[in-house]
Amino acid sequence: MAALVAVCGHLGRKKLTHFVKAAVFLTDPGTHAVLWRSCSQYKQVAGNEDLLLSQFISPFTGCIYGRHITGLCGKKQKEITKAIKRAQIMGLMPVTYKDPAYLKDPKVCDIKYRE
Amino acid sequence: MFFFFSLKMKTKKQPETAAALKRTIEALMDRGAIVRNLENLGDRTLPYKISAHSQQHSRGGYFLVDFYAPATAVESIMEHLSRDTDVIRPNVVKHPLTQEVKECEGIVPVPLEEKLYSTKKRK
Repeated sequence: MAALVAVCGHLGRKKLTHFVKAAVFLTDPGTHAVLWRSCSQYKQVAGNEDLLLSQFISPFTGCIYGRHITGLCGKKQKEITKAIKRAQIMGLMPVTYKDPAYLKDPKVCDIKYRE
Repeated sequence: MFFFFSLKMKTKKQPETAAALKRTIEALMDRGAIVRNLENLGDRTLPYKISAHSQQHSRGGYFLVDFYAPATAVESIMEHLSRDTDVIRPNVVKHPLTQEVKECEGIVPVPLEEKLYSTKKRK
């Protein structure tokens, strides 16, 4: 996971999607056991991985999910929030909605939407 | 210090963007930066409308430049780029992949029962 996330930072956009999607599929969803989650998985969050960062925002409003939803530890939650804000200000990621290309992502956060 | 700098430029025909890019990179090198790599992330619709230099843009070309520069040069680079009308939004960021990754042990389970009652001595 570490290698994948690190390399993604510098690939062109189209290549990104394949790598990071594979990366997130490796983790297995389901149990709410919080210990295994996140910290060991997302080793480093570089500035421009939109796919990874879009998984932590709401598709309807674009708000960043809190710690109780993402299940990340203190450090990683902070890192991801900072990276999301940075990408939004740099004009790489939309603020009030989730980029429609990323709507069909594997679910990482613990949120259930009303049908 | 390792930086990378991402910028969005107005979409134009190929030779004009090439000339504009050349200008920016020459400006970087004038300030003592050593350019490592230049990447083109493609021409896309911007995620939100950006107004710059009294014009609004909805499409832009994204470019990513890796370079080494002394930390004092950053300010002058940003100032120069904000004056360039072709550049919509310049950003200089520390290179994230060169920073050390600290080992994260995960969420440490805190024994909450000890915190439930205060351990202060009561008369």
